[in-house]
Amino acid sequence: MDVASLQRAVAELRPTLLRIARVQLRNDTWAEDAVSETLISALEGAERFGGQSQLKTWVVGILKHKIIDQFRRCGREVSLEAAAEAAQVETFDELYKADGHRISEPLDWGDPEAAYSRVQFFDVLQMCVEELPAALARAFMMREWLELETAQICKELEISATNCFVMLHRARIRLRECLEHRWFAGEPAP
Amino acid sequence: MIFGWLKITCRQAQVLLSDRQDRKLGMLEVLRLRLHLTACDWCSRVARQFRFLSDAVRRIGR
Repeated sequence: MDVASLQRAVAELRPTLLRIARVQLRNDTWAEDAVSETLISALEGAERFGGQSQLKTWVVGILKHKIIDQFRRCGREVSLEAAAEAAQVETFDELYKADGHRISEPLDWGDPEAAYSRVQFFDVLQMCVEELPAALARAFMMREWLELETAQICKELEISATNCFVMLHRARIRLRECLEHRWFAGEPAP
Repeated sequence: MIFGWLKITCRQAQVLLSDRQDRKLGMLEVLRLRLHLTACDWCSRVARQFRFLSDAVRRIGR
């Protein structure tokens, strides 16, 4: 790949990267910064990459590091939001002790992996993450997308391990419901 | 019921289903969860859906 088409390929990834950064950082300026830094690093090292698909994986890998850097830089604000969310966790906990037996029937999703072949699925999935409260989305993406260990997430967010587990649980319950409503309940035939 | 202390609710089972993706469960938790899942189709569905959710999120941006 020549330099010009490489630059174009990297620049074309910008909207994808920005959406991912936004959902985790929940602040447009921070997200723009993380993505700009990613693109700069990518362009500096890009000549080593030949294939386009490999390029994307590599650029997303750089973005992961930049998002973690950004968390560290704005740690105070991030941990305040997590603390506010964690404070609600206790009341939520009490709430579901009271009606422990009642859950509604989850649908049978059949073969959910079939959804991977549909581009719109990932759009819906990201929409569901975007609709979570900021602190839940952040904790969840740190765990499942950045693939950080729980101990590290607690440390970054300055919350207890218990609160961290409860936040992740709440995020999963909500995402499960969201995907069920938005995708699996009314999935049009492929 | 003698083994009543092993019984957990669906809500509790779903907490354990989430927790096992983030930490190692204790022996008692594993036992309670297994027993619950053998008897509960709903939570077995949720178990599979939580696993799918992790896998799907990891694919974002790939």
